Formats: sequence, C-alpha cells, structure tokens
Amino acid sequence: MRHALVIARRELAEKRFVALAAAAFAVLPFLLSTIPAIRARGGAADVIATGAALLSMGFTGGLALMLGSSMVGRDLSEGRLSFYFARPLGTAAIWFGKVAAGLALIAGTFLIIAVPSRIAAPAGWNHTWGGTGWKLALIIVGASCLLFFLAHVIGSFIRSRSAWIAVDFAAFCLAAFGGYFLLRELFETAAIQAMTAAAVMIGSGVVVALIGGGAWQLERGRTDRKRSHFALSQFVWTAIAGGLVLAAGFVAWIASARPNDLTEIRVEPQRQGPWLVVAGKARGRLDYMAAFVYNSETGGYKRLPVHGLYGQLMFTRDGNALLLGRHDRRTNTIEVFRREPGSGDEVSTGLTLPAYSEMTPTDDGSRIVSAERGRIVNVYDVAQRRSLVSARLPENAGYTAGMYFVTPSLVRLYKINRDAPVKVLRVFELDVASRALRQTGQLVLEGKYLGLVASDDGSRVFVRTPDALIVADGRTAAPQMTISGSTFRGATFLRDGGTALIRGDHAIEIRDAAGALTRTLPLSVPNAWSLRETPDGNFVTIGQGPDSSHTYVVDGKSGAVVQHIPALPVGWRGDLGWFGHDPRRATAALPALFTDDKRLLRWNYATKQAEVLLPRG
Amino acid sequence: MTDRAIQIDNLTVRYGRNTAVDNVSLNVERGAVYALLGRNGAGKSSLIRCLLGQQKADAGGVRLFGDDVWQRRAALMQRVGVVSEDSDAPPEMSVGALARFCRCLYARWDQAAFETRMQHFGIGLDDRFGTLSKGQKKQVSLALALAMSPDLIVLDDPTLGLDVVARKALFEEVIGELADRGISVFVTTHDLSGIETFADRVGILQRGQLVLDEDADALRSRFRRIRFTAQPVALETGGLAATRMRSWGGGAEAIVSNYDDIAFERFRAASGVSAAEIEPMTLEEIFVAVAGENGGGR
Repeated sequence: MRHALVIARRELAEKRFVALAAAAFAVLPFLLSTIPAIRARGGAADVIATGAALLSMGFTGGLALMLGSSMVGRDLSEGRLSFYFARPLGTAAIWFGKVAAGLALIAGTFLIIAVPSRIAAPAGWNHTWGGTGWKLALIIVGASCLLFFLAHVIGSFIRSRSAWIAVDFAAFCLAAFGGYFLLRELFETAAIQAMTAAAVMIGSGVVVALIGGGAWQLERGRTDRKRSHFALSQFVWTAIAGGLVLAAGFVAWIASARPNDLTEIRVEPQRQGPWLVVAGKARGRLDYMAAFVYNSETGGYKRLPVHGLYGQLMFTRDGNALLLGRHDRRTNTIEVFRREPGSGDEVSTGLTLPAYSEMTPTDDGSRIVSAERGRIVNVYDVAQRRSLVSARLPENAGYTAGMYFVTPSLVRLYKINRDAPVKVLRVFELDVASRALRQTGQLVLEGKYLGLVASDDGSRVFVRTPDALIVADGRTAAPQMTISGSTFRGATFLRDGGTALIRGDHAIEIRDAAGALTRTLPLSVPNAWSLRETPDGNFVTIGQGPDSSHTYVVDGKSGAVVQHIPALPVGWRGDLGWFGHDPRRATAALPALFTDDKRLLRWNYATKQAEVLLPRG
Repeated sequence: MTDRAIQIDNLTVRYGRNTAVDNVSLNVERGAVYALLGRNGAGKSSLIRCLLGQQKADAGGVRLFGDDVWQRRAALMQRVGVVSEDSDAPPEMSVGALARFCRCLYARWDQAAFETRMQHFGIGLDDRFGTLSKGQKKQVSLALALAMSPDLIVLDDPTLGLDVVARKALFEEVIGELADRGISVFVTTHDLSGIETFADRVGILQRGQLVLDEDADALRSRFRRIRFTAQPVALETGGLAATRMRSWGGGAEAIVSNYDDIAFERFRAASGVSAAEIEPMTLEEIFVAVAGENGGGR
C-alpha cells in the first residue's frame, strides 16, 4: 500500500502539468461568458455552466484515453518499466499506484474545471446539468475511468506489436457475440430485471478484466512486451469469459424453470381437451416469464419458448392447434407459428404481419384472417402459405371490434368508427371465393360504444353502451331488443334463444327469445361481473371479493349459490389469448379448471374440494 | 544460508524459434566479481532480465541468495543494485527526486553517500535526469544502486557509450565500493580492460551458450600468445592446444589455451624450436581469441 502511494505520488508529480491545463480550461467558460454575442444566447450563467460541462466532459475523456493508453504501455514499449522492476516494488504496487494516480488525475481535473462554474453560476449549473448535477458528474467521471482502463488494454495490445492481437480481435468478437446472444435472449422475453442481472454478471467480468488485467499483465509479463501482452490478453479474456459463463449459467437456470416453479399462473386453455398454456413468473427467476404447454390430466408439459411472444397465443376453436405470434423487433412484425399441443415442434405458418395487427383463425386453424393497421383485410391459407384474398376497408371504418370466420370462406368483421361524435357499428363480410367485400349492416349508437359479445353461432350480438344493452342481429346489426340501464355487470345468450343479464349487484334478469322478461332471480354474489349458462340450466358468475375473484354457481331457478369456488375459471379473463379477435363467446360446459393467480386448480363439484394441479406439493 | 549470491541453473530463454539463452548454468559466490562477456546479441541482456526477475525463463531458473528471483523479486531487490544498459529512470525527474523516490523504497538507503557521490561526479540534485549526458546518467544510476547498500550489484554494460574518463570514473567507483563493503558484482561489458583488474571469474556467452566459465587468474595463466620465427609449428607434439594460429612476419603466431611451462619445454625439445616469444594475454585478447571474428553473437 505504502509503495503504491509512493508510485502514485511520483506519477502525479510527473503529470502535474495536466492540472495546470485543467485550470486553464476552467477559466475558458468565464472568458466565453464575457463575449456579448455568446452571452446573448443564454445568459452568462448558462454559458459558464454549459461551457464547463462540455469542457470537463471532453477534457476528462481525452485525459482518460491519453493516460490509459500510455500509463503502462508507453513505459513498456520504451523499455522504462525496468526502472520499477529493478526496485523492491511488488507488481500490484506498481499497477495500483499508477492506476490511483490516473484516476486521481481524472477526478481532480474534472473538479478543477467543474467546481468554479458550480460556485460562480449555480443557477446555470442547475439548468444545464439538471438538479444538482452531481449525478451527471459521477457518470462523466465513472465513464472516464472506464475509458481509462479500456484505453490501457487496447493501448497495451497495440503497442506490443504482436500478432497475438488477431487472437484478441477474435476473442472480442466471440465475447461480444456471446454477450449479445445472452442478453438478447432475455430482452426478447421482456425479462428486463433478469437481463440487467445477466448484464451485471458480464459487466463484472469486464470490470475485473479491466482493473485486474494490468496487475496480472505486470506480474506475468513484467518488462517483456510480448509476454506482457499475452498475460494481459489471457487475464482479460479469461475474466470476461468467466462473466459470460456466469451469465450463461444464470440464463440457463432462468430458462430451466418448470411448471412447478411458477409463482404466478396465467392460463390459456383449449376450448376442449386437456391442454393449457400456463405461463408466469417462476421462483427465483426475477421477471422472466416461463411458459409451457401443459396437460392438465397427465401433468406432462412441453416448454414454450417465450422470445417475442408477449402473450400472443391462442388455441383454435377445435383445440387441435396452438397459434403463436412471435414479434421480430428488427422488422417490427409478427410471425405466426403453429404447433400441435402435444408436440414440441413449432412450425412457421409463413404468415408475417405488421405488429399490432388483429388476427383470427378458422376453427381448425387452416386459414387466418388479419386486419393490418385496421384497414387491410387479408385471408391467408396456412397449408398453401399464400394469401387467398386481400381487401381494403373504407377509410372511416375505424377499428376492429370483432372478426371471425362464419365459414372457412366467409369472414365477418365488426368495425367502430374513431373520433366521430356519433358511433356507428358497421358489419362487413368478405367472401373468399368471390373476393367481394361488402357492408352487411350497421348500428348507430347513442353515446359511447363499450363492448361487443357475439353468441356462440354468431347469429346475435350484445352491443353495450353506457345507457343500454342492445341485442342485434349478428350479420345486419339490426337491433332486436334494447334493454335500458347502466348497471349491467354481465350478459349471456341462453340455449333456448333467450338472454340473461346481471343488473346491479342483486339480480339476474332472464328474458325469452322475444325479449320479454320471464323472471328475475335474486343474486347474493358480491360485485358479480360475468355470467354464463351451464348445460344444466344454472349460471356461473364471478364475484369480486376484497382480495380476489371467486366463482359462484347459481341455481337457475332460485338464484341460490350452490357452489362457491375461491378462484377464477381458466380462460375467462383472457390472460394470454389476446391474440384473437373472435367476439363469439362459447356456451361453455361447467368449468373444471380454475386459477387463483398462484395455483392451477381442478374443482370437484361433488365433493366441493379443489385439487391443486400446479404447483404440486 | 547459501554462499552463492547468484545461482543460474539450465537457464533457457526463447523468442519464437530463436534461442537467446541456451541452457546456461553458472554461480557467483558472495563477494565475488563475475564478468560475463559476449558480443552483441549473444544473449547477455536476456540473461540479465532473468537474473533480475524481469523476465520469465522458458526453462531453468535463477536464485539470488538462495531465493527464486521470479517468485521473490520484490523482496530480493532490497539487496540488489542495478545499473541497466539503457538508463531507464524517468527523464523528467530531477536527480534529487529520484533519490527521494528510492529513499522511500529501501530500508538501507544512505542519502549522505548518494549526495557525496553526486558531488564527486559534479552532478546537481536539481538537474533533470533527461538532460544529463550519457556518462552522467550512468553515474547517477550507479550512485542510486550503491546508495541502497546492496549485497549484489548488477551492471549491464555500464560503460556502453561512455568516454574513457567516464569509464574510468565509473569502475573506480565500483572498485572503491567493493573494497569498502565486499559486495558481489555481476557485470556484463564490452569494456574488458575496465574489469581486467577486479574480475574474479569470467564467463563468455556465445550464441546463447556459456562457452567459458572460469576463474580469471586461471584463465589468464592458461592462455598465452607464442610467436615463432619459423614455420611450420606442430604444437600438439607437446600437448599444447592452439586456439588460433596465423602467420606472423616470417614465422607464426599461436594462441594457446592450455599453456604451462613443462608442456612448452616438452614441445621445444621434441620440435627443436629454439626461438619463441611467449606473452601473457589480457582478458580482452582472450575474449577475442575465444569469441573472435567467427564466434560472435547471432
């Protein structure tokens, strides 16, 4: 330590002219502020602060480059390092003494230039540097210190005049590619915390390489220029490789999460069949989202790569295919992939869409309709990997409220106009065979449009406004019934052609196919917000408790709660499947699988007990 | 405690395919003066760098006072004064600043001795090292090396580029110090006349190999120049080995590397040669004979 200080003192004495140069630079902003033409632009205080900011940044950066590249490299190439090695000085003392002097000069000259302006023009300083400016000052000094070490490494490599520099270049390319590959893997999955942690690991390797490299270089290479280069090279790339290996291990561990590790669970279920997509954060994996295609009956699973996925996935209505949209950041497009739920193979459909396009497949996934930027409607055949028809919607058609295949050759679209005081719901149909796009109907809405839900067969739609719930024809949008009120919490089409809706907190209103109110059931579910009919004529509704949502099965005749399940049916909330734009709501069987965000449950209606599927104990 | 100041074992240094030092072994006893001679490129500087722990050998090793110099360089340098071939002190430092710097590093620093020498050499403490003449730089380096009261002093071609006066002054200073303290000296030099009087042992490095390593007096006693008035001369009849033989005037001149009086008398009796002039040789002459025109460095 004492010897390092002796060397630092000597280095500082040798380079004291740098402090004088910094002092001259410190005066410059004050001189500039006296020039009327310059002062007129921003006031004297701003000129002084801006000048000091730019000069201190430039000076310390340039100084870091100069000191870093010459501190050891020049002594080595000029054969003057033997002066130190012929003395009773440890290599650590030589290296850290020189480093201490270099860093002290960088920080010192920054202060020499910046502090007078801070004292003389605090207002300008605050204005130019933002706040007190010390944060920026630390960044400048920190970046300059990094530059100092970097310049040392590069300077030593170049000054050695050794062919080994080709190996360094190759190692640099490998390390850069490795780091990019590892970080991109996490960036593509939007795991920013995990990416930051991996970057810190790689960065630690780089910092160790830059700071410790010089000490190792002097210890192993001493006064021999080529051996010194070799030793530095060896240490730098080993340390960086260490950081990369650590990060690679971390990334591998992150990506090794299993369904049982999920600490929060989001689910996209098959409409029928045992497969689900389960996704969520996993134990100890920071913000990394793991995803799996999971068989709820066997517990088997396939890992689902999550890069570029961002929740863009859906099962086809027949349940035989899972469609996934993967985002390519460079082109800002979505490529659509298809996989069989039980297989691990993911195959590109060949369909690439601009990001944020809307998309719905046919029931079997053989065709896909997309609405690019809301206006270009395109029907794509997956097997033929080509577009069958493309059509342009009218300019004022607005955004897509719903879109689905009525048949594999007929697409129906619901469009709502934007920004107009009067909202109009327009229905369009695109015939694939005749390539004809035509408007089949429209509904002018009083007030705002709040939402649209279609019956399972698409023949009717609920259109919600702030003051009413309108039942309309699914093809023509011709209104069939208007139910006034503003406190609807959920509505569903019934198997007998009637409708049921929750009004306020306290009642289910049931109407026949003609719209006549046939009965009203009292409802004792808190904050109920969704309603579906079960095959046996009861209702399933969701109540919102203070902490979480619960599911209630309500007797279709009395309104009494017959089952209380402390979780949500999977697929009711649209956790992951926001990819599709099909407004048709299935007439579901009694839901079997539930999630309370932490667990995946199977409900036994006979015993009224939940079996925990994930995580298994 | 070992009696050896320097122990070099099978030292080998390579630069790519070139072998600069080839399996060299030698020892220097405490208090002895060892002169390593060799032409330019013979491998002296590489050997010195290894000797000072500044370069790692490809094979073999160096021990100073029994300790491995590569492993324990920093500690050993408390006992070793170095005058390098190229004066490597920072040129912007003043002589006084150099002394202050060294003073912080050495436990046995003798500031008074340093200042006395500077006065003796006529060099001011405020003079910048970079502004000094070559001879003055060597003198400062020597003064720094001696002021730390070394047990071993390593001189790497200390008189290179110095005029006759400066060379004389430098060696006188070393000799004086030797007389005072009996320190070990390892010197590589071209200035063979300078070390003639005080080298205890001599080594000759030729193309990286130590071709001669011998006590200086023994060396001087076995080398002779013999001039004959007539030719031819068959020295081998007396068991004498001629390192070199050439025509000289009307006769011949032979450099004999295993001279002794009895062998020469035997030769004279057998060959009938009566007129022969026998001269002892200087180290310089011996060096030229051993590492002469055809036996230089690489």
